[in-house]
Amino acid sequence: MTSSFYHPTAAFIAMAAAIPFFPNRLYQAWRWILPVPAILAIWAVFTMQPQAHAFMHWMGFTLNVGRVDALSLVFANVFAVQALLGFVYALHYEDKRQHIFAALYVGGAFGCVFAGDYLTLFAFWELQSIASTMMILINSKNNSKATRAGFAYFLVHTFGGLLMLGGMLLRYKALGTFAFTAVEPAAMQYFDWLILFGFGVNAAFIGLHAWLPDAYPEATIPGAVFMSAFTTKTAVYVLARAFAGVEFLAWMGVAMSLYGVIYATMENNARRILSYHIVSQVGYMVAGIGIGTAMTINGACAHAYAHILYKGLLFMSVGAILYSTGTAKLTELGGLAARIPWVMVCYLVAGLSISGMPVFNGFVSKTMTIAGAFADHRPIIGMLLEVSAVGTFLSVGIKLPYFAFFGGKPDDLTRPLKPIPWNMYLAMFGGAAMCIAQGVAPEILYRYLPQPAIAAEYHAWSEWSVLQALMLLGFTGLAFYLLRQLMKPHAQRNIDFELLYRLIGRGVLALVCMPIAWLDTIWTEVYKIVGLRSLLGGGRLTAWFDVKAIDGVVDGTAYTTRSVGGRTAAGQTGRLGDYLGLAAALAFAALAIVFYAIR
Amino acid sequence: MSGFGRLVAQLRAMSGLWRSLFLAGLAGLVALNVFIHPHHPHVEAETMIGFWPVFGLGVAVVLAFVAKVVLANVLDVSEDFYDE
Repeated sequence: MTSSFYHPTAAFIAMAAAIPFFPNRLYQAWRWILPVPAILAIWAVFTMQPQAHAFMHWMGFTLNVGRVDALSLVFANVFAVQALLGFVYALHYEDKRQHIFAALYVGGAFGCVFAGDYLTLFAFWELQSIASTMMILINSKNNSKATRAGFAYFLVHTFGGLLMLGGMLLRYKALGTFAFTAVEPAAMQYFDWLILFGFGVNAAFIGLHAWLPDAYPEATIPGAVFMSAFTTKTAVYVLARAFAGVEFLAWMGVAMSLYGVIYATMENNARRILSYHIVSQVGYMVAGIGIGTAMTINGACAHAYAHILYKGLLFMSVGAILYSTGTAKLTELGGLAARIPWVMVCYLVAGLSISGMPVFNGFVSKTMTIAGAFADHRPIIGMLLEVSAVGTFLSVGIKLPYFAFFGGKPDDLTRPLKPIPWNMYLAMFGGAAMCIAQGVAPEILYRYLPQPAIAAEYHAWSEWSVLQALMLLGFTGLAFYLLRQLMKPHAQRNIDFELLYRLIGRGVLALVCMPIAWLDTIWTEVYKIVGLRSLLGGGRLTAWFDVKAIDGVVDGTAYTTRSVGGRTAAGQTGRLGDYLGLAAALAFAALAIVFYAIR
Repeated sequence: MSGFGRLVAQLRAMSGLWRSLFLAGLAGLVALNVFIHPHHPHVEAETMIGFWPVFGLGVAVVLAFVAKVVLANVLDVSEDFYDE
């Protein structure tokens, strides 16, 4: 490895390795090391110089663990910031396992971002997958659904990992290299498609996405905050790295953006609503990557940056509600505005950010992708993304906060609320401040984009852009006001592709089980006819042998012994003369035999 | 309840005022649209006054009906569907 390159993953993995040795009773003391790797990562990322390689040698392969360029830096930048916010948010959480797996997870994300070859990428990809699975599974004690959700999550990500592994091995066979480089969209090979869909599992392509709304709501509260930031955005990064300009992605992105908002409009659990909105917002990024112009790639990266901040803040705010009230179901909430007003403020900042409201960062990132689509003469894509923007504001910008904090109910002054720790507030305020800062001064964000010169030409804060956004969102708000009774949440969940996964799983199980069951039936018959009869015959023979031979010998020996004993007893008269006579007779007999032998 | 909480409760009690301000704001936005137009419209319809308000309102109404009236009734299962 080059001496000038500090890999942010190192400190995260070191911390994960060290935490098991820290005593639980001293948690209040050692918890202050939790933000340290993130602070080191921020320092590293902000001082890092672009470089092509940082080599390691492993089993005859040369691994490039440190490719640093504008694209990797923008993602590493926001990963570092969000890692700090996430660990601050989790400071009160005394379960060591949460911090160990969060550190491994974040370390895996950095590893992916700086990977210059597919082997390195795959290793960190899987680390991320396993660590995130554990952040769901460790919640099993508090949430009975977590075990199943974690297992399903792991199966789906294993499937995605296998697609990626198959694609990269076939690619190596065809091209002789594991280099993780951009693919020419017009020359996509079958192995490239395998890799793309492997990435697509983590990006939550429609059809491959159901793990996301099933898993994130079941994770620990800080676990969901971490997971909302890293898994899908790492996938966005690798798609931008390898598959920019692939037309399929443009339309998949549009489909994701629409699909997510429709489901979010129906759902009741706030964390499921936010999860569907990850699908939707990642759709904007995937669409931008698919369109593939400098402006839309910039837009995808800017939106990924903004999204990590506001989505983290959304999960932090809803996590605070869940922590305080014990539920995230909108049907069980309402009337909380005056009880937890700062949580509401933080949520509203995040909700307005995701909706693209001026002043907040979604406004300067989302509009860049949409404007890029129109600039590339794709009005249908542009307009469909505007439809998604309306759906976003309707569901997560208005519906969720309205029913969580107001809901047409009076202020709930009697509900017992668990006090929210200061560190959770600190992380939320930090996230909210960054959302507003980037929205007000977009150059803070734009200068980190892969094409900063192109980004500098884009002016989000034009009169028309502001007016257009306000009109679009304002009248969406009017629609909600008119239809607020219709929008009322109900205690329900909605069937999604997870049912298909289960049916496929049962089908595969049936395919495996049916031939085995058939073979078992045949074997039972054969055994009954041949095996059982042979066994019974063998049993009878053994019984006969036992009775006739074994018992005969044993019983015969016993009878003989008894008979000899009887006769011997009869011979033992007790008279000395009889014994001397018998001894003399035996002596003479012995002498006779001896003489006969020597003669 | 904290001081800020009391303030929120007081502001909430003035819902009529907020509704009036909201509707006035919407009217103000449409009025501004008379004077402010896109220099480079993305689609021709964008040059029409009130296009985006109609778009926002219309799309939100359609989405709400499609999601809450149609799909929510088709796809609806209990929250413990997979636990039962």
